[in-house]
Amino acid sequence: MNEKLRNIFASVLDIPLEEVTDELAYGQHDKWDSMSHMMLIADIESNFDIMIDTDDIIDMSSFAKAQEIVAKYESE
Amino acid sequence: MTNSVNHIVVITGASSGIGLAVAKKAALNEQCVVIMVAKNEEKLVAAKSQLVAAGYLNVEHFTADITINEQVTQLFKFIQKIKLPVYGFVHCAGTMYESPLLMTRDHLVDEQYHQHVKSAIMLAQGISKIMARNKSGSIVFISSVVAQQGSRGQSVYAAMKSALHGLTASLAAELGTMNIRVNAVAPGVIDTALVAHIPDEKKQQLIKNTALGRIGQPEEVADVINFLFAEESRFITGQVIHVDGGLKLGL
Repeated sequence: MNEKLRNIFASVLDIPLEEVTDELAYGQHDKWDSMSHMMLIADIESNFDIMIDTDDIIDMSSFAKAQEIVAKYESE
Repeated sequence: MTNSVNHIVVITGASSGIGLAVAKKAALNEQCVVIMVAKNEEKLVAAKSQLVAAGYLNVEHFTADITINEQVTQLFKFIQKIKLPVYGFVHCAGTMYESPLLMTRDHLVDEQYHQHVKSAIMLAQGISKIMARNKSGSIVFISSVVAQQGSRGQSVYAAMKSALHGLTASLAAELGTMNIRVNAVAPGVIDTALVAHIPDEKKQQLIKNTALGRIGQPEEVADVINFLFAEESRFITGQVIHVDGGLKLGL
């Protein structure tokens, strides 16, 4: 799951895979703004076939957090 | 569903009036899966049956009260399962509350807010996430001629409908980079259940105040909505399009 998620982040944010680390954070990286956040959510939902609640969308503030959240939905 | 389908159109308030008219028009496109949404299961199934009996096979229905968040979530799960891009969404559901200001009830103001405004926001939130996957889509809200012109006894309804104008303009700006267009259609007096209670005398007055000298048909509004779904309207966003035959309410 983590590699798939890493690839989504790299592709949507248009950054090299090496930049997708646990510390990658919303609002701190130039490429991760509110627009790309929406694209990230859309791609994650589509690729993992899940629907993410608004609370989790707001909470998805770093790549580490994104892994946690996606894992939670995958186990449901 | 037939094999030729390649996109979805979602319609709330689809069991009657403008919503049903949009469904009928959209179903003419063999590549389109029409998802009809309404609160009353019996009416919705009857409406869907009309389309199926007319030979349209790509019609689905989903019963939901769009003022209840959990039911809206279930609707989006249902849409997601079909695994086709959503090209169009129109929010036709809603009733008209009429009352003089002094007799306006607090809980009915809340009800109108939930039906017209909050539901529009929550539905737009869910549908835009799905549309964003394909960087394409058209969202249409239904406003009303009273949103701009006002009408005695319709202050609450007018307030809610005019709120949709701000929502339309703001979402058009916010979602434009994802090629999601957001527009509203503002019908005048249309021959639906919503205006059935208007006394004949008042209807005649409204007809007199309409440049085209008649009330409109739901299909005439549906044509504009389907145009807003179509490729031909690809450069139109953030607009409120009046479909009222040139009605001046006269305050």
